[in-house]
Amino acid sequence: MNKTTSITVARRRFRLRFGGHPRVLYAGLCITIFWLILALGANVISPFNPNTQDISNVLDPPSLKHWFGTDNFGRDVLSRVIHGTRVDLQMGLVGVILPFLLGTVVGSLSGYFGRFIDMVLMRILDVMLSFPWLVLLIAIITVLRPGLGSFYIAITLVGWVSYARLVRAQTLVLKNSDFVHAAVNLGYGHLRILFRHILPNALIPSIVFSMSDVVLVILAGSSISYLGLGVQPPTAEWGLMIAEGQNFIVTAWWITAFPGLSIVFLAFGFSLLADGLGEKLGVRE
Amino acid sequence: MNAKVLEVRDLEVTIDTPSGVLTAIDGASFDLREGEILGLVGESGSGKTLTGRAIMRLLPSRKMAIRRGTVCINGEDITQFDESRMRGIRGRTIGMIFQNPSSHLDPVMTVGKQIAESIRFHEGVSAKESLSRAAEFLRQVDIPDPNVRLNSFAHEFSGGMRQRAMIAMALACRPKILIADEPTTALDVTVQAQILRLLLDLRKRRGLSIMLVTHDLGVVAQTCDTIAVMYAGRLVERAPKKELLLGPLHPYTKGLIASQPGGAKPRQQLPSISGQPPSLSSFPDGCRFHPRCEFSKSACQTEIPVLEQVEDSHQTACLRWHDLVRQKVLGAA
Repeated sequence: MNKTTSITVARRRFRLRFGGHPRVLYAGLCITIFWLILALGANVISPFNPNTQDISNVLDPPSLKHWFGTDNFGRDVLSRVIHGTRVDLQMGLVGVILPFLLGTVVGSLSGYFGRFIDMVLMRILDVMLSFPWLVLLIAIITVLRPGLGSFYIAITLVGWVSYARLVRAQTLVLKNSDFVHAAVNLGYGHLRILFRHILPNALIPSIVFSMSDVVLVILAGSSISYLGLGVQPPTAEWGLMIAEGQNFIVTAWWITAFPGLSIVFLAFGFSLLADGLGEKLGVRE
Repeated sequence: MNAKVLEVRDLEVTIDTPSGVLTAIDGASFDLREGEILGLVGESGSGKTLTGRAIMRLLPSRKMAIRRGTVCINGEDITQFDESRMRGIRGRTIGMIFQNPSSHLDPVMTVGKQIAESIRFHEGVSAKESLSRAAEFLRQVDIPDPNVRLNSFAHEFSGGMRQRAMIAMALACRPKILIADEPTTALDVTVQAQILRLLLDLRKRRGLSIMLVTHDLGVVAQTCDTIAVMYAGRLVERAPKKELLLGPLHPYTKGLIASQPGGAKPRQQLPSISGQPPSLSSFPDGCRFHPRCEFSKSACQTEIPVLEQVEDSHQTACLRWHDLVRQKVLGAA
């Protein structure tokens, strides 16, 4: 009986299904992939160097040579928008991943262990929630030192709250579920149960929320740059471009309009992605 | 006679409530021998599931506690173990399977990984080795194409297969004792028979001792060697299967057997025990069955019957069993 015969184990093949998903998911994916390609291939795609000044072609309106026109230093707006994609996408993604990680750890510990830990963490969360988050963001960045690094630190300190609440709520439900009891009955320790069995099940609402959170973070990042606290000139970044172009808004609308539209279009893509994912995974916000 | 692997003595589980301390299990004592299948039978709320949980030291609420009694495994009292030693007992010495296999499997992890995880956790073998052992266990519980089904998720299994997978998971660390908490209640009759056959087979092949918690006397009659009957948190009768089913020595057991379909003649109304089982907060004094017992006397209302040795393996907790046997109400017909 105790002789173990070796059985060759087939691997589960990962099948990617292209059909049958919600339509908004496809739309969102297309738009997001479009921006990803722009960001990754910025050097190849953009027709000009985003920082090369051309004093003889200052404030040119959109033309065949400069599709989106040029700004007050004669820089090609299209190239700057394309290069700005890099910075803005990076801000959106890093600015979501960091709070996601912090919030998940806090939320799961709080929900799983409960009692004292829960009380302390949730009171901290309440304090964070009672501040208007944009004001808090600006305050933290100002204290630290304007720049992208400070923005990431600040957004992590401000943004973890939503993830912590989502993960905590899920963990509270899952910790009393049958399969977790079964895991306890197998003698597993707390951390194994929490990270291998509860978290994979608890993360779904957070993942869906993170997609729409990307939009908020990009908007926040652009606003911070607009205020001069985030990305510093001459780096091409949409919020910064809008700030720089606002003096010329009457004579040269293209400097502000195109980065503005880009923000809207990128946000639109992620919103659709979030909706589609939510529908696909059966999460209602 | 085989050695005792599990000895429960005077187990008392209490629940702390705002209105006082309630006793959910009151002095349960029984043994489980190597290779024995013990059926723990009783109505809903009689404390049979709680007994299983108490042995695992996993009471469903913080308000519950083992107040008194010992649970000995190989002579060691595990009620005194600390949490980390208890973790070594769970899964490795005592495995547990549950009533509802679909909700007791992790929905986002493949069945193979779940079984393999338990093997790796308890025996510390490599990932590849544990996965191939998991396939072996799936084969032992008669799941076809185990090396392919290993990669399935629980929702891709049928109800019976899920229960088999759960048994495989519980057996993966070669426990000596299996606590099966209503393992067939959620399954239809044909699958139920297959699972029971599997349990019998496992007992034969690896000398597994099984504690089968159920309310279904039919299941008990098919599988168990010994039957313990619980009523309102107390053990009322314990005997080998045949003796208990053919010659019950407690009015409650007799009523329970009589109310099984099949015993009554066609077109005759199925007999039932009148009244309701008492609620935890208002257990009657004396014998807890006396308000529903047709043979109760005044002594039954005050005196708590103890589990009395009738023959070498038959025990009953009834004050009047002597009289009733003489009146040919109880005992072998």
